[in-house]
Amino acid sequence: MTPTSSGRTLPFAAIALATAAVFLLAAATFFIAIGQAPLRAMIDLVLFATGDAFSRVESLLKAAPILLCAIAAAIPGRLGLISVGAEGQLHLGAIFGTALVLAMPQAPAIILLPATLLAAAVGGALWGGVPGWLRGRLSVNETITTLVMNYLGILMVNGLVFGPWRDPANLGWPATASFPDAARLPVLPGTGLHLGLFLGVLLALGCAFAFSRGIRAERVRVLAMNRKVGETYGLNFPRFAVILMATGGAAAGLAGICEAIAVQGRLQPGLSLGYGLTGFLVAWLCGHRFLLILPVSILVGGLLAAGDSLQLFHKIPASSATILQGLLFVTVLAVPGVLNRRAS
Amino acid sequence: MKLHTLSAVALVTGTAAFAEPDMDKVGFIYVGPTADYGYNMSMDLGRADVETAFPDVETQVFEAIPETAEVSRVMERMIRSDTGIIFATSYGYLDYAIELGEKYPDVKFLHAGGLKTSDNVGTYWADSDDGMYLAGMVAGHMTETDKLGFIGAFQIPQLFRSINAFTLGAQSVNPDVTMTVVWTGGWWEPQKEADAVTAFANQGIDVIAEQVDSPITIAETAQKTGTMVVGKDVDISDRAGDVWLTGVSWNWGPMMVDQVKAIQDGTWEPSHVRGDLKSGHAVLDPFGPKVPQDVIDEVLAAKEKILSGEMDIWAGPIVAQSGKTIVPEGEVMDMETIESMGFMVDGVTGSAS
Repeated sequence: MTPTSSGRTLPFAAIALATAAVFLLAAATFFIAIGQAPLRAMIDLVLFATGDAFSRVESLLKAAPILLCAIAAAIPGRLGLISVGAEGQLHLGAIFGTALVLAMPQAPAIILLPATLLAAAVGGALWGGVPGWLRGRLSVNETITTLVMNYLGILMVNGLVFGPWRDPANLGWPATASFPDAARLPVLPGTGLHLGLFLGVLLALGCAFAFSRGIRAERVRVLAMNRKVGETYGLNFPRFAVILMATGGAAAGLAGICEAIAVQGRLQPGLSLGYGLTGFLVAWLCGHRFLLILPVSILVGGLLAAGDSLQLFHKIPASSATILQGLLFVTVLAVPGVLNRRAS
Repeated sequence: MKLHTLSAVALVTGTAAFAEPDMDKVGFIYVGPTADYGYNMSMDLGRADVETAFPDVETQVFEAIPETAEVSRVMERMIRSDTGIIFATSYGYLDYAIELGEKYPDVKFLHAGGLKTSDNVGTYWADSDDGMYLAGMVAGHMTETDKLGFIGAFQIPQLFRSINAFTLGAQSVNPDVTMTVVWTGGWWEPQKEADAVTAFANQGIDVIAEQVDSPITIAETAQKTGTMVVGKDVDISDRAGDVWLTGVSWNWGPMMVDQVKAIQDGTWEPSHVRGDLKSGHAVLDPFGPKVPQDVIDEVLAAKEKILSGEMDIWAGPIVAQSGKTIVPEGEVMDMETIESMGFMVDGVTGSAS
């Protein structure tokens, strides 16, 4: 289901529709199995995702990091690389950005904010660039390295907030001091919607443009289809691998610092609710198409935010929202494969 | 630019919904699952008591909510479905409750164990210190190696109180005991807890106490290593086999019912409501099969002295790890020092920061 797959495949829209249908069926079965009226539960889900202003903002707030992490997976995905490292890149972005805020908390917003975002992008890019370099130069599997570096990134955040960055005023609680107002992201007044979402949308649109036309887009396409052919024409695969992995990492790094400064207001454990992996699955669900990633991220963000209704009104345990998400991703991974196999 | 911002605000704002707090709708937020046989279950048992006590009250539950801005989000969800009273039951929820309380002044928040209040945020807690001291006495008698272990989640005042009370209790009957503390860095870390039990057993530690979310993993692992355990939060004596010594569990129901009643009657004021062994909100659990009758008698006698006020477990001399005297002989630790405790007593190995 990637643009690189060859042979006969079904039209993308048909696959997406079939996947959605299977998911709805699976979700309905799940609700019936736990003794809930499936239609009522699903209507409540939709209402909690979009029903009023507050719900819409919550859905979009959840969508922002998912969107940026999906972009982080989709950019290297265009080269045929499977990066699952957005989670770690997100944490590195948060670390680099926080380091800057803690280093110059008195700086005015006009300097502090752009510098913080830049630092976060650099942190994420570093965490993406290293596996990119290892893949390009030494043919080390990028999926494994990004996976392992996820754990490293999360542990580094824990190490810092349990150790040197812990605010003594917290009475032992692991978190940095609250960030100064100057480091807060600009938000749409009265909503809490922050710059991160707009950065994500801009990035998605920019990537859609950059990867659809021009000589560079063509080169990426050639290298993704066949590295040997590309290299015969003088294309430098390692360089592309590093640049695309680093660019993706930068996007995830932005997600991390946005969560820290706009949502949490400080750096602490539990920064990400699995946004990196969710973003990865969104990117694959969309076949690394940036214009599709945009709406799907918002959809998945809505689903995550709406999971609240299951606990609040239907009194079913928190884990059912996780099960629904699992069902979604299993169908997304399984249905297109089965359909394409039968079609060819 | 300004116009764009305004239209975007209108787009996402739509028709604004206003919350109307209903004091018959009571929300509970837990950091873990209610079926944890630990802290969250103890709080949820209290919730069940609230439902029983007030036929008109409807309770709502959010489980497994991390101590991040996520809790702000779900509290706002509850408020927007007209919840009037919110029990925020985990330590890290306090700042978010206070912040949200400013936005929704008519909603009442009750935070478990916090040290701050605001116009509509009060706290409730039951001190386990007395119970932990008594459990420490049992441990001090039962240990054969004179080595005790403690598995803790975070280096916060509540845990230092438990560790110190337990150690002081053990030292009161066995001056030779030492205590080793390990930190797991999370309320719910079953793998680390199991590893810690095994590591303790290998070091010759033969009694383990804990303050993490639930004693269940530690008790199960300890049955394999044959290490004696002291429980906390929920009485799991029927699940811990013969390694069970005793434990300190909670009975939140009466305290929660009182709070809800005061709010509904309009007599509630935000304050630090505190219970203890004497008030019955903290309970000394049944003794295990290994504990001999003379030890039980001695501990129950000490319990009577605590209940009658004859004995205070925080009476001096109390000396910190560093050798510094915190409370001199003849004096008693004041409430503020107790509530913001940040040291461990002499005889404890482990880092307090």
